[in-house]
Amino acid sequence: MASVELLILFLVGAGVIAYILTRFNTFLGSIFTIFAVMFVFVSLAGYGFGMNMDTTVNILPGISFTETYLGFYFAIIIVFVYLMVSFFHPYYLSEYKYKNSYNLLFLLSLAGILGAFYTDNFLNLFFFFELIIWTTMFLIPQGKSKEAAVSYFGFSIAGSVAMLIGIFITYNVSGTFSIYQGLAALSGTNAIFVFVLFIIAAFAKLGSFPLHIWLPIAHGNAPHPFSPVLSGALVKLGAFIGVLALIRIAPATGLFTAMDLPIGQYVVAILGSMSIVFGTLMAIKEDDAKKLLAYSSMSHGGYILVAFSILNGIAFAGGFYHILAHALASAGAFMAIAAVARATGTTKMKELGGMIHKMPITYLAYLIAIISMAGIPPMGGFISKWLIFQAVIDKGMIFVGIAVFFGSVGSFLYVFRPLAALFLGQELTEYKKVKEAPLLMLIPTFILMGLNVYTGVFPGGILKFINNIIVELGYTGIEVSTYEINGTNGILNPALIGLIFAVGSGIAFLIFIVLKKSRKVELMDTYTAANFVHDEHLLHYAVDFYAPLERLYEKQSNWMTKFYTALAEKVRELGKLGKYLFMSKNISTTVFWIVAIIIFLLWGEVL
Amino acid sequence: MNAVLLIVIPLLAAFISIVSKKIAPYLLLVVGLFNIVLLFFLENGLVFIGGFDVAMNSDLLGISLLLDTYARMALWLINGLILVIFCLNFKSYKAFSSILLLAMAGLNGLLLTNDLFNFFVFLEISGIAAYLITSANKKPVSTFRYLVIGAIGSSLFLFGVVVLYAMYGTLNMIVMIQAIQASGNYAEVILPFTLMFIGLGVEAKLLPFNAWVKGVLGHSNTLTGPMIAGVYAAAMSFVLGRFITNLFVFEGSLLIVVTVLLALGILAGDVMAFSSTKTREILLFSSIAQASIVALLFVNGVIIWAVYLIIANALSKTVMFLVINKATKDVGSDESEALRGLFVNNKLVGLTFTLVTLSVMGLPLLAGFVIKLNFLTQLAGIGQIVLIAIILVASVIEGIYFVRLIVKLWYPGESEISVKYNYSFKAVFIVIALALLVFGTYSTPLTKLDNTIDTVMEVVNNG
Amino acid sequence: MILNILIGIGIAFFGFVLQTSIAGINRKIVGRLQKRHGPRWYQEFIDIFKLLSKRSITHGWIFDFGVIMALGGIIATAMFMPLTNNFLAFENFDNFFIFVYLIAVGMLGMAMSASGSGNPWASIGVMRALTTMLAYEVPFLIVVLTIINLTGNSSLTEIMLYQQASGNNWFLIALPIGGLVGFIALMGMLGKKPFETYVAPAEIASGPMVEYGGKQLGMLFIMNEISAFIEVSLFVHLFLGGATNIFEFLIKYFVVYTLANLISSVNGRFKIDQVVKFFYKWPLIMAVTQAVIAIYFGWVI
Repeated sequence: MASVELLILFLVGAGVIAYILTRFNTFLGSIFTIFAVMFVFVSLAGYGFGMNMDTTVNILPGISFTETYLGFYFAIIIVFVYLMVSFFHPYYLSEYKYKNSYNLLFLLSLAGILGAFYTDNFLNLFFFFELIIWTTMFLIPQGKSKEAAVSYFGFSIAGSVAMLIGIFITYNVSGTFSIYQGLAALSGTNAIFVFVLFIIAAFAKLGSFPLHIWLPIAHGNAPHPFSPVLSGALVKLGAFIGVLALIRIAPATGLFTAMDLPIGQYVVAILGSMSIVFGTLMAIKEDDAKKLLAYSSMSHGGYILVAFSILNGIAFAGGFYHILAHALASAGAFMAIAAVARATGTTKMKELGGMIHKMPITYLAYLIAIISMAGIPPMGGFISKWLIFQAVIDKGMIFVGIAVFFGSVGSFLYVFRPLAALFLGQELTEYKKVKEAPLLMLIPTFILMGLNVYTGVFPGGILKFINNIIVELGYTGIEVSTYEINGTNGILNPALIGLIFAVGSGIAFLIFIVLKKSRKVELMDTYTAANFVHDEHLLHYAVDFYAPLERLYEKQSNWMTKFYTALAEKVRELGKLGKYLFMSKNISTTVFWIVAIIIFLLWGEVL
Repeated sequence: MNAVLLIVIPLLAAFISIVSKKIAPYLLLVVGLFNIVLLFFLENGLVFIGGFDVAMNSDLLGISLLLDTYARMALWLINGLILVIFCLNFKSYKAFSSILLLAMAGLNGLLLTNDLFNFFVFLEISGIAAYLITSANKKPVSTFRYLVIGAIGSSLFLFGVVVLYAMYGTLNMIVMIQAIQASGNYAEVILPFTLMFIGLGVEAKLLPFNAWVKGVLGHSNTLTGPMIAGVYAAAMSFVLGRFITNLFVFEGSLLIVVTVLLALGILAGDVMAFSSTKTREILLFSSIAQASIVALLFVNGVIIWAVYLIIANALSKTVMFLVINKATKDVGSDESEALRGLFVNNKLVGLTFTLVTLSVMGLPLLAGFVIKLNFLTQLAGIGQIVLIAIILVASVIEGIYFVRLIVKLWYPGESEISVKYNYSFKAVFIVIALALLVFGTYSTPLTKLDNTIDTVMEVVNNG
Repeated sequence: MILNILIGIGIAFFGFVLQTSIAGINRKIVGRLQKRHGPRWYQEFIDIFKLLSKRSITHGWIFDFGVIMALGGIIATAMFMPLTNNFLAFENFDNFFIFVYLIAVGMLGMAMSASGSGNPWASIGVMRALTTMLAYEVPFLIVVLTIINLTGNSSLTEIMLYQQASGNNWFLIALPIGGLVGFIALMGMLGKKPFETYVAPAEIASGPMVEYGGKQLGMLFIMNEISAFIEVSLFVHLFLGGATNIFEFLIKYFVVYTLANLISSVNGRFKIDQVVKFFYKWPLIMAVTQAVIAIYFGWVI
């Protein structure tokens, strides 16, 4: 039996050891970190699937744990992403300013993750959330921009504050901090308040519209090995809160009879849709590969919200599966970009080109990840999108439908951009000496590739586990057999699709191989309308890839950024006003306030 | 052994130290230590001075001191902090030892006395000490402004006391509480209570009576910063808490005005800090917000966690002001841009500063989190969701400017700055940071005490 | 299973032959329209086989890999396509979304290969192709959303059977506005004017295909024909009630493709941003109107 408490304590201890080891030798400390995370992952995987974790608490004061399918599902995904990423540490840490603390904070935040998903107490949940926020907040400024941490922290803390207010309302109503009893006790207006507050928290953590602007800033500027954690793991905390709000609270807010959906849920679905659309449009426009993927995370967060807004088993299955699929895909994609960034020192697509020739495995990893991200079979992303589409169609949600379809097609556009500009195209001269990532970094790359395919071809087992979660939430699961998924309006056999794809490719390969062999020519040896072009950069199409499309919404694209800049400016001005009113150098101002207050108080009572 | 020694001995020492400048600093050390040790031996209870034992039973004038757990905690904190701060400034601010002795006497008196007029006297004594301490800033205009506003405040307080005396014919707090309870007419005490609240509010840095803070703390050094923001703020919060919990009756419009003022103070303090770029201003505005939170907690009867909050804040602000003021002195500017990269070569100081700041922000693993969560829970228990929302919204703003500050201090700008901290400074930082960390992770001892640490009401009810 | 796979391969091959022939016939028809003779109907076959037999160049492994992925993906998609309401390779698995998404693998492969050639014209062509796709897919999918919502099934066979059941009309008639949108989207999918911006031979040196020759180009031609087969068949099955026998299918198929081709030949070409603006204006509004009418009000003819 693996005890949650001991695992958390183990991680804290391991963090301290990792700190000491990293102090002496970065490589050693990082290797230790890998093993520490691996130990946690193995214990979790070994006992968690069968719900055999030991949840008794003997040492930690005021903390209690319980085991749920929901919590375990999130925990195992996130721990897995942490494990994958930890393989990158040995090669990145040495560049960072405060590398000693990196592994420590990394492991501490993982301890927070475990606690957050295993606790059954709201205050503990808040404790672990805040722990995750501040430990990770110190990791971010080790990357490119120091200010990114501020925006990450600001939005995260705003989210957890909203959640905390909701928690206290729940406490005030129910008199308990227990998550499940507390939420069950809510009703009427209180339920709506808590619902709204939790949704705010979910949006802030998930980086959904309109609380999304931290997402590209944080993801884009975080240290390269940390961006996958942010996108693949940490934003999923928002999904967890979203599940609590949308399914557990589910306040009675009146019903849209046409869609058989409560208004509250529908509003969330519409906001989720806006996240999808905004995220997609911004991603299409973005030049920094990591920021592009960050916007794609925002768009995928929207899918997750849409899925959990539709109150039936098939949508939930889609949502949960999407969490897994997106975690794997975005971890894969971010890690591929990280590997490129390590080799070249940049993530700007206009500065890169032709990386495929030097880093073919990284390229393949990225390719498979984005196929999943775009929801194309035979990868995991397809299964979840298929389930979500079914739910959307069955409910007849037209406007949400526009968004989910737009996001789905739009994702082809933005995921293709790094592919074309960064990996393909002309091989730029400055990167001729670049090498493929080292073996240790290729291990997680291969594992993620395999899992992206596995989740797309054999989803049966995972969906069966997800059914447990759905039943736990009080809904009926979906019909799954080993190979087939029975949706409400169709049957899918992912393994068959995979097989047929293999057959098709086999035929194409046969055609290709029996025909005459082609002559290899250089990349520069291309059709140039008889112009002599001597420089690779001139033949590389990478800047403003979708220029005609981008032009259509160029003006609108920075509205939200402007809004938040203006908001910060307004708060600052308010502060200046406060200083002017209360902090004047003129003593008479103070006297004025004193007199004003006394007069106000005594008006009508004594005077 | 008598509690009065806590006041008398520092006072006596202050006089002696004027005679002999040389022994003054050592006298302060001895007296401070003596006070701390003495507190271990004193017993809780009322102490009557000069044979006025009958004061309780008749309406005679008389002086009595009340020592209970509340006062004991406050006294330990105040005397200990004065001692530590003086030790750290032993070389540079030796001349201030007499003044610190005076401050010690005044503040101890404030926390112990049970007599309103006496209280006013101690308020003046500690006030004069404070004005003198701030003269170390070498900003006479700010000090003068502090003096004037402080004088206005204490006159208002005195006026309030006079009105109360005219109404009830007593200055003994306990007798007065009994009288007010007996009369039950709260409308007529609005005026004196307002005046007294404002008078104390000036010293406790409550908005909008705190215009002096910016001038004083905005130019503070390693002595005045911790003394005013740490020691004086804590002492005044304790005193205010005593008054709010026991004497003041906030009802009706008075309650509304006080609540609005305090809520406004929380928000305005954090918003003003948000708009500041000078590090010392950020710290001082943040402490305004914290002072308002403390007062708000007392208004809502959350005593014990307010006390912990005062202690945590006093310790944290001491560390923060020491770190920043030392750096400001060495660098010559307190702009946060100018202090970029302060911790690059001072990792230990940086670590402690970060931990302390995290505690102020109320983040987990640190004492600030435990305190915040507990007082919020108590507020939720009495249904004050709006106040919780205000405190939490302010805490978002607070979080943002503190993180901005921390990140700036950790990562260097273009030019490298070099600031050296003494071992004694570092030792203090480490001890305080460790204490916050320990109580943040092991919070059981904190829950051993509860709201009954303040025994005034007990005395009132039992005679 | 092996038999099913063989049937699937047969369908894909049939689709290729069918579409290539009909495309050849259409070249003749368009020729007559423009007062010329036009090529022979099997000209397309000749082109393709000539290309396949030639020795050509390659720009590296991704150039070839992309072509294989493109053709493989499209063949795989075609293998799922039902021809009539009872003739298909994998019963119950002709889910609509397989066609929309599996076809994307092929598209992705082609795009990848084109970008891998290192020619900026190819990348520009790909950019335009993807942009066009973003334009036509959303209105089309909204109409399909309506259809699936009404039939309660996303299997093409089931949708066919629903239309063929007595009392029900073809969706082209039942959902006239949606049918129109579907047809406009089909024009976009097939790359017919006014939506052929991504090939636009006069403008961008024949778009994504600029670097290809020999067997790679031949394979992409095959891919192009099969994907046209998939797209037109989808329209037939979704809007024209599918087919009960193979002849019905052929007739409907021929009519739809020829109509699209005829409209194409009398149109000019949109700029790429005009394509996007166009699709997000009228077709989208029409699709949504149709969906609201059909789903929320239940007004289906």
